[in-house]
Amino acid sequence: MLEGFSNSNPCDIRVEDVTVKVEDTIVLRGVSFKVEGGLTAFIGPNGAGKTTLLRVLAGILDYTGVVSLCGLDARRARRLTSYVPAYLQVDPYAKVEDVLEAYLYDVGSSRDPLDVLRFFGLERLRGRRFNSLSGGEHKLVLIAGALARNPRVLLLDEPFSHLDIANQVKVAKLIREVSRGTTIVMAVHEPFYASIADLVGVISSGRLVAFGRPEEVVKRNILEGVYGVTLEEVALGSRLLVVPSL
Amino acid sequence: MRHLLYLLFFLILYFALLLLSLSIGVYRVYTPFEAVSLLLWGDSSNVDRAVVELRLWRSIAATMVGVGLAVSGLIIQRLLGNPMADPYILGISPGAALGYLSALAFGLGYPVWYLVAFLGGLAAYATVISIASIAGLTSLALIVVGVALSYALSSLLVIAIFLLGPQLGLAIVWLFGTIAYTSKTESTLLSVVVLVGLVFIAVNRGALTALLLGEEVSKAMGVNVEALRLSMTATAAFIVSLITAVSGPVGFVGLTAPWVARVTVGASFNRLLVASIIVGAILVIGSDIIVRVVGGGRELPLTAITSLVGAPLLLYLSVRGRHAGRL
Repeated sequence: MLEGFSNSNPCDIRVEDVTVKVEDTIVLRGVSFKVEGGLTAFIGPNGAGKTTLLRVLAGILDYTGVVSLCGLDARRARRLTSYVPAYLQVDPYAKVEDVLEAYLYDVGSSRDPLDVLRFFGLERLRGRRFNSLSGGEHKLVLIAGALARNPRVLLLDEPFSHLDIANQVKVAKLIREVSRGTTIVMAVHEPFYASIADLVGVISSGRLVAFGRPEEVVKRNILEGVYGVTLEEVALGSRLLVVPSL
Repeated sequence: MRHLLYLLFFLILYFALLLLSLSIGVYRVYTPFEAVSLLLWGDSSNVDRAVVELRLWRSIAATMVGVGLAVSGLIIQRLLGNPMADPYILGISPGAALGYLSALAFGLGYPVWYLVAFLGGLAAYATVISIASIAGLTSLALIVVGVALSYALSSLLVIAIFLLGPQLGLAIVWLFGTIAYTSKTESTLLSVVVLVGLVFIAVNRGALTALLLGEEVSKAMGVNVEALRLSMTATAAFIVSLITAVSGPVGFVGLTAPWVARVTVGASFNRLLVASIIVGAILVIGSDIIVRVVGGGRELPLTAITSLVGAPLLLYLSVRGRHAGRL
């Protein structure tokens, strides 16, 4: 289904004792984990360090410790990864095609932005100004651009924010599909979307407080401790969903 | 398709202005046909041919000044992620002006004053880069340091003008910008530097394309943003220092041309580059024609006209109904 837009060769990510200091504040403290392909989600409160972790993996933030993607140091692995920030403001005159062209800057003429739009069913956005898109369209274009680079590692910051339910389903299915051949790491806010991942990490105040399979980690007691609010577990078939208790 | 039509229109407008620039002048006005015939088949001892040839070199200088300022403005706007940035934001204009005035004050003659002005521009740029790199060469640091240094140098410039004796007249002509005295040598030098600069920029067009997505995403895709910022601002500084040394500060072209390009062809770097080149050339060659026509036998300062044409154009583009809310 994703021929040409997905790798069949996911790579390992190894993070050992990584600490990040921004000015005098430690924003990530001694984080270690390892993933071998598939989909990994990080969840945690605002400001806990999820985006910082993604930026470290993207090779754009200084850190101490070891970060290895596909056997390479994070800074050297940049060309193998694609990073989608939570939000991106560009030149107000930039069209959707211009944004895709920028993502494809080193892929050359081998891939046309219009093919990318067609492939992801976004042809209707052709010629639209990127900054005027709705939140959902904005996100879909960025994810399409990142995937068009055919990365071995895809880093997604809040891929579900601002999306309506239909677009959430669309993005979730796409991510699951892509994760069969590409290693994906994403930061999410919704416990439900953390639980669609193969592995989940919980970050709180710069520390990785839990890491494992969703059924071990996306649990009421762990998340209540991290968020400091009351949560409930709801049975959905054989799965337990964690939802806020209102 | 619409982009190509715009580019075609710009190109036709440029060549029409080039013909006009060869034909119009204080000495005598020819028909474009006469001017081209004189240039192609005229006797080299013929005064009319000599006049048209001078106008040709002047037109080439105008074109190169326009192209150089426009592409420098474009890459500086892209590198700093700020559509209001201008090549002179790097302190080059007051730096070059101080150099030129110092050369005059020390009694240095042609062409040494051009060299000193050029070095003054580069020295100002080097100072801005050195100070800004302490803060990590971020775009904000570059803008703040550039603006602060420009103000400081401009104050020194005011003092220098105040202290300058009989050379003041020469200084004023240069400070207001003019390409009336550019000869074959200067036009050729300008052409070589601007064209080499264009090659440099074209080589980096991939990375400059990626930079549309901002510093973080570009870095994450493997663009060495710091190195790009250094090499490309240096290219712009080289071009703009030389242009400023030869023609004096020519305002608004570096800001307006990329804006016109952006509004007409969008934000794709390759298209912006081509459109900025042609629009920059149009703005300066057009202004240089106006300079010759409206003065009534005297030539007006070039920068007065480029700003007078550029400012309303920029105002119109920025407040035009459907774009205003989205800026």
